[in-house]
Amino acid sequence: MSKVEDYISSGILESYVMGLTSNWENLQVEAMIAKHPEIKQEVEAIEANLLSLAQAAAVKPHADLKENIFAAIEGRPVPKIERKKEEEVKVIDINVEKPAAGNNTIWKWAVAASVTLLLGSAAFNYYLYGKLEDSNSHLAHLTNEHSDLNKNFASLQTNYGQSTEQLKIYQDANSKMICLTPVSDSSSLAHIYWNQNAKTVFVEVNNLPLAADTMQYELWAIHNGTPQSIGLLPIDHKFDPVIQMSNVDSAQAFAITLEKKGGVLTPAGQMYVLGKI
Amino acid sequence: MLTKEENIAKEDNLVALLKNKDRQGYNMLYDNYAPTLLGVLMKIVGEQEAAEDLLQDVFVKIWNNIGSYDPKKGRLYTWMLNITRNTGIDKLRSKDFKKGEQNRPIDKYVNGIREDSLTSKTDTIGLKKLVEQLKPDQYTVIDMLYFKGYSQSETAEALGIPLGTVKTRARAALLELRTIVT
Repeated sequence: MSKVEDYISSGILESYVMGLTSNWENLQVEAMIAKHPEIKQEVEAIEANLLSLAQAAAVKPHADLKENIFAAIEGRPVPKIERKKEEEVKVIDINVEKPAAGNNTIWKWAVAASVTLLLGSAAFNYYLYGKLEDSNSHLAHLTNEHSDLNKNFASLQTNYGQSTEQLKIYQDANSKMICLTPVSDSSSLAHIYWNQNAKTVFVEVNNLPLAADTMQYELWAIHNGTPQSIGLLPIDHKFDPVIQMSNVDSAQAFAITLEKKGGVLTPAGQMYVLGKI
Repeated sequence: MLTKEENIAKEDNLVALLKNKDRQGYNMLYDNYAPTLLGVLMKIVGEQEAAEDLLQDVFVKIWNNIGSYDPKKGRLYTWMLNITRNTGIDKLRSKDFKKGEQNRPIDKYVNGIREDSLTSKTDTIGLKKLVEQLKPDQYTVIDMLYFKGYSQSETAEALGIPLGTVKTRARAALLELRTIVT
């Protein structure tokens, strides 16, 4: 296809004629029209076509409209067009009855009564429907509230479980608390709870600087001057409340160093805290 | 039927009359175009009384703005049709109209169903015949763009099709109509 055919088939000319193009696009289209007679011809065809589309939907205006429009153009007051209601409401007077049509009267009363009943029932249904809607939305609200409360409860339960565990560790008579104090960074602090009977070790990290993505804190038990790794602290820096490390038989000191992610066998990185027993 | 050249000559005369604010010119304009423009407005706002009020606004706009109409940029009726559509669409989007109109949901179009126009009793047989020949997806695009005032990107979004498809589909629809009309 040539460039002009491409341009025509892109649909931009239709948009232009319908007034849907931007000012910028208008300039482009007008330049193309001036340059290519085929495009000019196409635009004229589209214009004629859209006119046919509009003409096919033509509607005869009210006879008074023309005069009103001239009044509006010329700045005269525009009268309101009197319109007949399409459907006049017919009022049936049930009292005006021919005497001979006695049977008919009963039917009319019956119809009137049933219409009344129907309207009444419709109104009542509408009322009930409204009530139902109200109840439904109330129920939805309560359901939401219930699920929120459940979530809160679950989270409180978890917290409670953790606190209980923590308390057990603190209160354990066999547990020894060792305070790990800062070596280089003055604000770092941690505590070790070491049960020397059960050999269990818990660490409570009070403060450690946020580690780089490539680094991880490692905990060491130092026995006779030899550090033994007893585990790594979580990389997400979530140390709450206490973390259980590997069991330790004997040690004279504990320390935390910052090592490359995944840990090392012998400490190589910076030591943050150290506590001697 | 007048030839194309005769039509243009006639239109040129009319434009000259309109630019001179000649009452006879506006008389001709009304007689020739009022039903067409009213039909467009009714397609947009759906109700004759509101459409007739808007048609009055349209004629006032034509009267006030005829000086800015440039015959080089398109035919007179294209210019008027666009004024008409914009007037109708402004009304459709105005607050007071939206309040009265509860149900103009975009989802009517989602499946390409053209229920509103075809079931509307205000539609003339002519338009019905025309659009019945179109594929529903083609008609939907024309209806949204031309009569409902959606922008091309709104149309694309509502129908979940690319913008380019909106343009080519509108073109395909109008090409189809061209074969039907002529």
